[in-house]
Amino acid sequence: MTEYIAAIALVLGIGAMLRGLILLIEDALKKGK
Amino acid sequence: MIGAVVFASTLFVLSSAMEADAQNCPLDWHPPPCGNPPKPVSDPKKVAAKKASDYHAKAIEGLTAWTSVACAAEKLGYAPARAACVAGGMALGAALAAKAKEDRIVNDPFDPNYWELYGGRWSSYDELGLSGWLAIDNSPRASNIAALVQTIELLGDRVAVSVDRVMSCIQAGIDMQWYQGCEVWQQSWVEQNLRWFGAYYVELGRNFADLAYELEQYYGVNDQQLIHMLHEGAAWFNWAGVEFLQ
Repeated sequence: MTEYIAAIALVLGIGAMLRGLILLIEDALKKGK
Repeated sequence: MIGAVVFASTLFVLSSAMEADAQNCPLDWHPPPCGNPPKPVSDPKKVAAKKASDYHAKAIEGLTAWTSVACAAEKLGYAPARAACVAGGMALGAALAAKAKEDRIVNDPFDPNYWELYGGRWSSYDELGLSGWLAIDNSPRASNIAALVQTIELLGDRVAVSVDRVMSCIQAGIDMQWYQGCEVWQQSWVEQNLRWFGAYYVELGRNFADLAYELEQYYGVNDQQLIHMLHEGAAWFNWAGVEFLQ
């Protein structure tokens, strides 16, 4: 079961990273236009 | 800017964790409908997880202070603080994720709905922070990535809840013999969703790689640091996807 719990932690970590990337893309598009 | 974003995302993780806590029952007692009283921390796995969780709690305190100071300094125009702000934010994110994992092992959460298959919850584009991007970019690429992120969040929610249900099935099986066995199909559901998760991550990686190219070629985006991060992210999503597919 521990490996599934590790998977959840990975999901949390990737989710935070994804949100950061999305904000950066939005920012870059605003500057690019 | 990057530091601020990393910091913001770690704050998001922190606030989600606090939100989840607010919905839970008191830590020392779980009255109905929240479930059974938690078992004492006695088995070696739980003892080790508790030790690691306490260690991470202290690390989070220190990192929060460090990151706040560094990010504030960067915001005030002190450029050398940028690296410290980014590094602190990333370390804080990693410590928060590690603590969330350890606390899950220590608290052994009990879900009274363990006999039901959990379908997950759809998050809106607003909740996922996608609305701002979609408002200025209505390309097929943007809507494709948005749909992928939304599905990945759904699968993540399914896995998180269903893992608790597997453990709850095992706990309940000890007391109620006639319920014994639901951990088998709950676990299959977790495994199936992790495989879908992997497939969607590989797809997301592909889309991020294409997006990096398109931003540069067609949108006039000249931020090399961002383009590099997108390529790195694409490779990372692909790696994570293949891991989940195994």
